[in-house]
Amino acid sequence: MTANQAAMRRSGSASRADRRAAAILLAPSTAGLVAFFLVPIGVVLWLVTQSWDLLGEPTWVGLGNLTALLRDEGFGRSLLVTLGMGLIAVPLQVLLGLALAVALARPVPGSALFGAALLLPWLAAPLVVGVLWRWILSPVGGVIPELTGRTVDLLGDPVLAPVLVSLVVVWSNVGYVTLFFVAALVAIPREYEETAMLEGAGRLRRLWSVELPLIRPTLFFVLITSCVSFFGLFDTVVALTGGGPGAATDVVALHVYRAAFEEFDLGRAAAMALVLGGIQAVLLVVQWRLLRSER
Amino acid sequence: MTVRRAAGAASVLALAAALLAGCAPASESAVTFRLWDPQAADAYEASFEEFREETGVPVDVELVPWADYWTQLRVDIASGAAPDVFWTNATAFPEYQRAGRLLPIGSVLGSDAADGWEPRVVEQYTADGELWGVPQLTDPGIGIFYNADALAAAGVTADQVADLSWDPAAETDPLREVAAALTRDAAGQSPGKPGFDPERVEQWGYSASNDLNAILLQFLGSNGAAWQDGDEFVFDSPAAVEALAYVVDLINADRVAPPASATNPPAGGDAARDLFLQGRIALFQTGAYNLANIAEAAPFDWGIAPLPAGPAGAISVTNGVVAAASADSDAPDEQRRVLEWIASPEGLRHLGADGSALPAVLDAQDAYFGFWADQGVDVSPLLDVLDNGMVQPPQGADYPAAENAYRPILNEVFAGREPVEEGLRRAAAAANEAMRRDG
Repeated sequence: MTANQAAMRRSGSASRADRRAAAILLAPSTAGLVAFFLVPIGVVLWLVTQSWDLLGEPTWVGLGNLTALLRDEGFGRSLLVTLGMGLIAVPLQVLLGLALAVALARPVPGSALFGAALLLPWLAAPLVVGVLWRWILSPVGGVIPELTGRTVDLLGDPVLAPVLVSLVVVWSNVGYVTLFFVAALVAIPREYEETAMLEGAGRLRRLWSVELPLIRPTLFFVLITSCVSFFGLFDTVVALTGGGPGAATDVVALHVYRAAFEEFDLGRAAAMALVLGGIQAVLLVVQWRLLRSER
Repeated sequence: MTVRRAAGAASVLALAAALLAGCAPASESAVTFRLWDPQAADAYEASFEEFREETGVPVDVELVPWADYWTQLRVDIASGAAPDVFWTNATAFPEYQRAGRLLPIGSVLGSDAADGWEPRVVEQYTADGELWGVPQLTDPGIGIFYNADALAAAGVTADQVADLSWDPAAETDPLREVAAALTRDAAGQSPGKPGFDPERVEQWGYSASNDLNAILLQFLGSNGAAWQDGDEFVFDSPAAVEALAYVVDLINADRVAPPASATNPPAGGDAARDLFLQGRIALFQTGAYNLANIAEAAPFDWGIAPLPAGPAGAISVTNGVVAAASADSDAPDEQRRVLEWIASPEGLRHLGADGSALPAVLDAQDAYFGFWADQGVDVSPLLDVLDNGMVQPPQGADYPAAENAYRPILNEVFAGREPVEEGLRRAAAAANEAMRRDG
């Protein structure tokens, strides 16, 4: 879309008919962009300045909701919880995805089946994934207690619970990440690898010196989108732990949801959503810059 | 990568829709009636069919599941599409009332109408001198549902269970003794016996857990303490600490109840009920709201015993549900006629007839008792306990904010990771602060 516009601007001589055609063709996606992107952002920006419980009239509070966040320990803690869990999940997800992609990029018998199986958890709704793992990990009546005959309380442990939730997220996402890496690896011309082999480079050396530099854009993309997506983590946590034990897995999106739809404090929720969106936007800008410098 | 937040996204979309819609079109002449309970919805459908035949006024029954109920209601009110009449509970109604969204019932039905209704429910929903909903359901009190097969296997009699009492100051008491006798590990050993393995328990004696409505309120009330005094949280008083420390010990020291991580809210939810139905809890303390579930699903013989008595007696909570009238109705005349109908014994007849709920209209209650008598179930222990006096049910505007503040701390107390006294003090302070901040 933007490429077309740029091309048109350069030619400088697009006919009136061309411009009309462009407008018609762009209309549906523009409408979508406005309705599902710009309007909601505008609503959030407006809500940030309001105190509203959906029952009375909204009242103007200026920046009050944002300044109140500075004193909100619960929000700060949920940011840290999300960051901590992200530091476990994102690197693991990327490394594991890369390793699996290296294994799958050169087809061997059964690799198609394995690849399909890898994708299955990603196809399942996150809520289903959460419920499934809660059943497996449940201290009473769960799969592990039934197999071992012991009460094993993994999700009840404040240290283990965030780690386990992160691992479940990795389990659910790794197939998707692998897809990107496989596509990137397969696109590398065979000659590079053959040349490297002639030079006597081993498998690891080839990966490090030939393949990784060539798939760097994909690596950045996967890394950053994984981070952005992790900050939006919600349904898996709801189903697995509900944010507990204590506040050990109280991720930001869950915190925002509770403020908005359990406590009906829409202004505070919008302020938190704005901070969350800001973090995600910064990550996207970083990605954009990295990718641009690659070209 | 997709940002996947299905539930959150749905709510956000609903909110956006409400903000965009401005004013949704009201259906032509039908009065809308909203509730969260599917079983009761069937009863209302039958009732409103009779109403339509009599008056010609159609009523749309809107069933919104509990998980979405309050979000949907707020969003609809904000967008001008509020249902004409809707169910509400006691923790939710004050906010709607203070925001001027409800009609005082006396102004619609006259002040004498309350004579025919369960007085406890009338009292619960009276604020600023007015009643804010037509009483629909009344929960009887809390009692013990026991697994008769498990009792027989452990040599415990139903009379023993009917006579349970507890005393936090004593070395032991009948509740602890019977609960221990009903707890056994994989080798058949009970707590206190040599070789008992708390990690391999197959059956717990008692459903002690962090369940506000069925456990905490009862232990507090029966020890002369309370959860709240008005809107103020007071569950950190000395008597409250003593009572709740007793419950926590049943789980973590006496080992006669499932680990807190299995039953802590919100993820634990109905865990204790499910364990009871699986035969893994012998004594399940709960209310009539689980009666129909248990009658339908229990694969063993069971019965109902009175609530165990504490130092201050056996004190239970009772709750009511009312149908509130929207102050923004487009059809006030039809709305009034619907309110009159559901305030009458004829209107609520169907509600008690399948035993799923006890109507709050006194003359409609016989159908409920008749149903359970026919089933051979004696529900009287759940009602008689209310004669001992009652503990105040949870209340206050912005209760959900308070709940989100105290829940994580209380969960840690029950998990045994936070000392009881310190944890309760912090939880009550956090709840009071949340209530003040938003209230």
